[in-house]
Amino acid sequence: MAPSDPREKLARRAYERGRARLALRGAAVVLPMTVTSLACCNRPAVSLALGACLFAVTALALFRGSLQGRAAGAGLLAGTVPLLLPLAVRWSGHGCCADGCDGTWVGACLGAGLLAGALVGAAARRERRPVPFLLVAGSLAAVAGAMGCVPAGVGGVIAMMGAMLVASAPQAMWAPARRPG
Amino acid sequence: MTRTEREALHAAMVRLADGDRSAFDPVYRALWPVLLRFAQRALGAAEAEDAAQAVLLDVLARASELDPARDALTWILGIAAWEHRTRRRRSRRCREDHAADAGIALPAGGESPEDAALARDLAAALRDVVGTLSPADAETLTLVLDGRRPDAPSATFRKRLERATARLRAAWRSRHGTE
Repeated sequence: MAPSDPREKLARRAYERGRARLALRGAAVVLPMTVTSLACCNRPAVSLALGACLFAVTALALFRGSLQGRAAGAGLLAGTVPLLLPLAVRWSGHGCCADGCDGTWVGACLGAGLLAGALVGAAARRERRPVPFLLVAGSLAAVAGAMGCVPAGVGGVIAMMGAMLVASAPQAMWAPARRPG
Repeated sequence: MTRTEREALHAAMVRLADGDRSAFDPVYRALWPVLLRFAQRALGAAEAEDAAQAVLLDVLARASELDPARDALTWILGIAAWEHRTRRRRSRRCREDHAADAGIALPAGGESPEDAALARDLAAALRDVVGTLSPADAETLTLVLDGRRPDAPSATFRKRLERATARLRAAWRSRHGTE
């Protein structure tokens, strides 16, 4: 219901403006992640598209706040693992060529996805509503991870996302059953 | 504001800082009278409503910056005090400019009649609260307010002053709601 008091209307607008400022400031953390992906992966258009998508979803989640805000923080943190680990593999000498990347890269995406999934799942278990938290945090972690796994191709990205789902979903599903009341 | 109201405001502010919009109404309803009273006391009735509204908008725009470990009311009144100080400074500067334009000299020390009246009101309020203390505390504080030296040794007087000040603070808080 819209407030009838003009002062209350102004106050609500001020609050929402403050939330928007916070969201944009918080989502700025996506910029260095996108730059990292651009610098290290060979698909700038995909990196840019994923970066823009990640920025928008992060800003929206931070603007909404509460569960979504907490999920954004956890998702981005978990997402840095699959973003950085495959890049570390590349720097260690297991690169990609025109035909595609070697198996080490896909393996790194898989392992990083498992680790990120475990992190997201552990964070979701602490929440009163773990499933919505998992959906937001998992989506953000998946997009951030995809920016690192782009050079491994669709197979690498799917492996990372699948591993993330396998590691996180059971933790979130079982969490309410362990809670008293 | 009672302790329970203060705790309720803190809890609602923490929820609002986290992004829980359902906490907006309780915060708005609790905050407005407090800010209005605080502004009336600091700036007078004429300017109070504008100042309180400016503080309200500022506090709500910055609600997400609240540290849950800190008391919300203290944080809010800190913002309010800053806003009031800025307003006083701005209006003094404005008066000085007008006075200079009109060729009028302000009283020595730059204190305007409004500032002097405000200081007199504050001193009267302080003396009112001092009057509710024990005679010993009141005597100690009056000596200090009048700038007189006590007969007692300085260490003893310092201790006595410390205790009297603490009791004055508590009395002021219970009467005016803030320090």
